[in-house]
Amino acid sequence: MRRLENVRGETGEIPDRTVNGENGDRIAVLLRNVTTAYPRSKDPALKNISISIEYGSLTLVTGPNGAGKTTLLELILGFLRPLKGIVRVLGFEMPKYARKVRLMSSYLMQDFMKPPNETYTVKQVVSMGLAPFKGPIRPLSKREKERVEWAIKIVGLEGLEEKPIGILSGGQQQRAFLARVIVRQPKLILLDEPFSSLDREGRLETSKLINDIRKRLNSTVIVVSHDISPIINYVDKIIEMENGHVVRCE
Amino acid sequence: MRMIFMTLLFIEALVAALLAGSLCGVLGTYLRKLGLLTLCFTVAHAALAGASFSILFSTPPELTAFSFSVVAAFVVEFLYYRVGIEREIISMCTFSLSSALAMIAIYMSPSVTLTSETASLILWGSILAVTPAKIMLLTLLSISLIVYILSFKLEIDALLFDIKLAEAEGVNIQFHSTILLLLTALAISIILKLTGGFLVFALLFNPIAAVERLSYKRQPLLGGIVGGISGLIGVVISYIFDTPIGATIAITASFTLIIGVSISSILEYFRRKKLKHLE
Repeated sequence: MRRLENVRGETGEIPDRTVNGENGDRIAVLLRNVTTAYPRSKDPALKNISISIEYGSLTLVTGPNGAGKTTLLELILGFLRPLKGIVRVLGFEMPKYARKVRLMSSYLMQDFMKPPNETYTVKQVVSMGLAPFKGPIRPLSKREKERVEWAIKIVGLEGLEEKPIGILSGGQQQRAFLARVIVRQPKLILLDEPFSSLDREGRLETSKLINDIRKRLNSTVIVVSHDISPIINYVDKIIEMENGHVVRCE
Repeated sequence: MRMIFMTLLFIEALVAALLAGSLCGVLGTYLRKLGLLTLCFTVAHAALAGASFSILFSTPPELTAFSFSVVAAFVVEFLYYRVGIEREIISMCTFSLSSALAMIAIYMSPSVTLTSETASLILWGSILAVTPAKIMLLTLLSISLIVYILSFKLEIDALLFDIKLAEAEGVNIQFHSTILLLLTALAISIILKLTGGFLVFALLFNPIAAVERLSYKRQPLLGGIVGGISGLIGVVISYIFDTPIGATIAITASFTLIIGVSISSILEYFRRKKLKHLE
C-alpha cells in the first residue's frame, strides 16, 4: 500500500483492487478475449483481444488508421459494451462501473482542438476537470484552486490562464487539456493521438511531459499514437493493433 | 373601474410574458447547447396533447400537460439510453404521435367544449389566462432555474464546453438532461394558456437562434433577455391591435432572429473595416 493523494486531493491509502495477472503483477487494465462492435454495425470493431496493463506503466497502443486504437480507449472508459469477454479497469468490471472508473481516469480526446471563437479561458477549462468532484452549491475550495494553478504551471502555460482557449495555438491548447488531465490526479490517463498537431520539437517535449506526469502522479498511462518515435524511449509496453486485432504485444 | 381592471390585466400579462420569455430563452439556450432541441420540441407537443386530452376528460390542463410532457421525455430518454435508438429519430416519432393524439382529442371533444374559452386558451393562448397564481409559479420556476444553474455551474460549463469530454470525466449527463427537461416541461405547462399550445416553442427556439448570431459569450443570459423582450413586445402589440397573444409573441420572437442577423452583419462589417485599416 502506498500513501498518495487520491483524486479528491485527500491523502489516503490506495485500495488494493488489482487482479493477479499471470506473473502476479498488479493489473490496472485487463481485457480477456474481448470482442466489441459499435451500435448497428455489422462487423466487430475489436476481435477477441486480450491485453493486460500494469499499474504505473506507460503503454503505447499503435497501428494504422482503423486498427481499433480509439475503440480500445472507448471500451476501457465504458462507452462500448463488450459482446464477449471480460473488461476490468482499476479493479472494476466495465461498463457496469463506468462512472466510477471515469471519476478515477482522465482522457485527452483525439479531436480536442477548439475553434477561435471559443471563449472559455484556460483556467476555466482546467477547472472543469474538477467538476464531477466538487458537488453542488459550493465554489472551488482554496486547495482546488491551487491545484488548478499547479496543473497550469506544470504544463508550462503560466501567464496564459485568463486567455480564451480558442486563441491559443494547437500545441498550447493541447497543454491546456493536459493540465485538465492532471488536475484530476487520476489513477488512469488515456491520451488519444497527443502528438497529432505538433511539430517534431513539440512531440519530444510532450513525450517528456507525459513521462514526467506519469512519474509525478504515479498513474497508469495509455497513449494511442500511430507515430511511435517521440515516446518510444519512455514506454514500458507496446501494443500493435491492426484491423481490430492485437498483432504484437511486447 | 373597467379601465383599472384592464390595466391590471395588462400589467399581469406583461409580467407573465417577461417571465415566460426569459425562462424559455434561458432553457432553450441550454437545451440547444446540450443537443436536446428536438427533444424539447417533442416535449412541447406532448404538452399540447396533454392539454387537448384535458379538454376531452375535463382534467386540470396544466397537470395533464405536464404529465404528458414528462412521460414523452422519459420515453425518449429510455429508448435512447437503454435501447440505443437515436434521440432525433425517436423524438420525431414521439412528436408526430403527440400531434396525432392532440388532433384526436380535439376531434373527439364535444362541440360545446371546443367552442368554450378553455379550448381557446389551450390552443391559441389568451391574455385572460394570466392569473397571480400563474405569475407566482413562473417566478418560483425562474428562481429554481437560477438556483440550479448557480449550484452546478462548473458541471454545466463542462457540459457546454465539450459534452463528450465531460461524460468521459464522470459528469452525470443524464441527471442534467433530466433536470433541464423537467424544468422545460413545467415551464411549457404553465405558459401553455398564455401563448397557446401551437406556438409555445417559438419562445424556446427563436431567442437562441438570435443570440447565437450576436455573441459567443454569456449566451444563456442573452437568451433570457431576448426571450423576455420578445414576450413583452408581443403582449404590447397584441393589446394594442387586439391580436391573438400567442401568435403575436411568436412573430415578435421570430423577428429577434432577423434583428440578430442584421446586428451581427453590421458588427462584422465594421470589424472587417477596422482590420483593413490596421493593415
